[in-house]
Amino acid sequence: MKMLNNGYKGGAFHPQLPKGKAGGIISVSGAALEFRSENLSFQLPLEGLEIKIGGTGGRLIFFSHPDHPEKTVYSRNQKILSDPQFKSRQMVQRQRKSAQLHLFKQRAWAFFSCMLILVILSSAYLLKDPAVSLVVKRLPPDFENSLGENFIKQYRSTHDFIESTVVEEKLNHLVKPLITVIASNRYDFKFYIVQDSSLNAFALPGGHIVINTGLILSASRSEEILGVIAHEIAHVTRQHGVRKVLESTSLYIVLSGLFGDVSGITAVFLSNGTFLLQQQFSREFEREADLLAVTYLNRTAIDPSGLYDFFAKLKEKEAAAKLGGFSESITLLSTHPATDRRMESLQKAIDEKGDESYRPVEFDLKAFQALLYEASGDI
Amino acid sequence: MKIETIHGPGNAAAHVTLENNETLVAEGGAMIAMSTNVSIETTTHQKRKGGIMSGLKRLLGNESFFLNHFTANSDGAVVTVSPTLSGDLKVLKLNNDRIIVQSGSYVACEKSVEMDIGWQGFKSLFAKEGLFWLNLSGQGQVIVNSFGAIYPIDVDGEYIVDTGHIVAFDETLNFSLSKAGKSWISSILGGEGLVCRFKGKGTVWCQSHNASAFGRALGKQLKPIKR
Amino acid sequence: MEANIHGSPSFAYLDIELAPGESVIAESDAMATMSADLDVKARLNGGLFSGLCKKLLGKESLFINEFTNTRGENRRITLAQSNPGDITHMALHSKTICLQPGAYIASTSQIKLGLQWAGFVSGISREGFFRLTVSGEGSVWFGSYGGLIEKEIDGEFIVDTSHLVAYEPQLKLKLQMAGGFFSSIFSGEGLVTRVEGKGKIWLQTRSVSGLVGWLNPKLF
Repeated sequence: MKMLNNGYKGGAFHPQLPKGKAGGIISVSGAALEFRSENLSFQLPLEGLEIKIGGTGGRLIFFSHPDHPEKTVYSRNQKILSDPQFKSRQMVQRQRKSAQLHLFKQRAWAFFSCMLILVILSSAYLLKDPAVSLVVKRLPPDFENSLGENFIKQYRSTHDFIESTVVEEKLNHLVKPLITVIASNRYDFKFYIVQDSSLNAFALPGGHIVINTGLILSASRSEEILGVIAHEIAHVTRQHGVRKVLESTSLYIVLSGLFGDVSGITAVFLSNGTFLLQQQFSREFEREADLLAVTYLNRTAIDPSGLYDFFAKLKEKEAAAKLGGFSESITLLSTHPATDRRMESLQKAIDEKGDESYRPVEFDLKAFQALLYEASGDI
Repeated sequence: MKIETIHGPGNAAAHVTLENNETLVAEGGAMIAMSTNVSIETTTHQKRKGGIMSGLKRLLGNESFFLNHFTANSDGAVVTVSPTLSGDLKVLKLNNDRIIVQSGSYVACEKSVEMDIGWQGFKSLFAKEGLFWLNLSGQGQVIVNSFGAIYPIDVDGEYIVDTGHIVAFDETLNFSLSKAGKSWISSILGGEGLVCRFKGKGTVWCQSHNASAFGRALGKQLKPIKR
Repeated sequence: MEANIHGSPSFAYLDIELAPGESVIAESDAMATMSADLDVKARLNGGLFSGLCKKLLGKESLFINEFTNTRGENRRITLAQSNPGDITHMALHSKTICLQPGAYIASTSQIKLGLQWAGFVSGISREGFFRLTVSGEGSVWFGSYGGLIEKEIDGEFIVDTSHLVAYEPQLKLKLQMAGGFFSSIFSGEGLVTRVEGKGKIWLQTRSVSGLVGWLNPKLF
């Protein structure tokens, strides 16, 4: 059977071919290697045939014959070397063996290269976390601040900020005790209130914290707001924002080091300037911020159960939104998913650390909410 | 399918005239104008082949992730394609052979042309080309682009192409990195450094200008990114 | 030697067919493609001292390449500059031409590359303290960013400094502000060159500094 249909795809150089070359079918018969194409067919005798590896990446097998220097036949199909017709000829056999050895060496080298890439990639992955922590700690505060400021600028262009000095003063008064208990004075915290009805707040590198009006207006006590703010402050002091940026860029650096220019991927990534806002922090980061928030609140003697209450409220809203089919509000809420597990671990932290007597927060929340309502009505 | 290139080598574009049911496969973003009797389908791969993975592979090859299929609903449909950078376009005809196209030089091809991503080894990095190359084979026309004019060189034996000047080459050729002259010192001092030495028999299509050399000359004078 | 300029005016490149024994000198990194058996030699751009001067003060390359055909048949080399633009050929008959930094591409082996003091103002305004001069018997090729304009001057003429590519040495050049100090800064014309005398100048229709000036405010 095999003898009958032993055709291999390939090509040939021959002076009589148009442009000197053409693609066609190669077959091996008892005495000769035959090339057939639309325009021309010719044969090379098997006796004295020379076999060489060449072409792009050494993937082609070239057949030539010293008696026919003008003619060359080539194929990509390596099975041609195992053709039974070659087996019987001593001379061809040696050529065939050396060609096969050549091919094997090439494959081994390609395999080695792939392994090398794998090793580089996996070691880069393993070393990523410690490396990122190391770098992040050495970042100048100015850099973080300007990063955050840039995002605020972009965010401001698409969102309405509450610009009221009275509201600002009141808010600063509310958060002042929290800020004083933070050990490091690396950051100069700035708070912004944004006209947005969803229950959300987020932190940017350098201490820029954005709070939605919806979060403040729906709070039943000041501790809820303070709890969320403490959580956002924890994101800042633990440098979660810059870590996130660095982790994504370091992946880019490794990839570009390996593959050359991957600007296409990153252009898409970076042109979407607000990607920091839309990206969720990892669960680990969220849990870390929750726990640190509890520590901060305890230090200030503010009841941390406010944060828990906020999550409970968020969960309620999520459930309601799901029921009502408001898929839009779900995405808005999802930057701080209130999962059961998260609430559990938060409750545990509160129970463990929170045996102090909390002082009541001296803040007129109702008056503040009224003020905010008024200020937002202006927009 | 009839392809007519205009405005070369400065800012070339190609008018592609399609018969009914003929399909042009073009890189995402290459189409600048078309007649209304053309339907577009966007895929991550060529039809009947590959899938998401081949799209990803093409992305690594610095090509757009998406390929657009322009199919004529009646005779005489026209699609005009052009690359991003200034430069020339060249139409290469495949007749049961295979060419290797520098990733980024591919613009469009007939549907009958098979497309695959190839790997030329790490030497590609030093050759200042992408690590992945497009292997085009089968039957049909291919449109490639360049920064500068495109000129063919028929190699029989050896020929030297400076890094960053390769557009495409026949599969019967292989290239290796080497020095430009006889001595390494001379090659490095003379500013040529590494060059690509093509061996074998076949055609290599080269671009007259080097986009990254121009980028470097320009980049030096651009202000640094503000922190 | 047979030389042809293709791809003009937007992407000109120079195709040279070298007969046996012939050689051509080219700016470093100008080679795009060449026959593999051409002999390549890096040469100091006119002696070590003058080469260093050119590199540091004239913004030219320290080394240039000499490509020689040592074979028995014709060999081909293709040269291009890094920026897109036009290339022109000049047959010098013991004449001298002054070239602005970056304009020089290639010349035949009998051409001498020299230096000429360009003046302090030129140096301070980053146009280089020295000017490259080409002189002797043979051919020289130089290029521009954009198209090339050849202009005969008789008397006085004012050109934007960044658009000047080459000029004949008998012409006197004076760098000056386009208007007063302030109008120079605000009109965007910056430095202009006042050309005096009788002779030819070559201008380019675009300037890299113009492109850079347009791009920079758009980067952030």
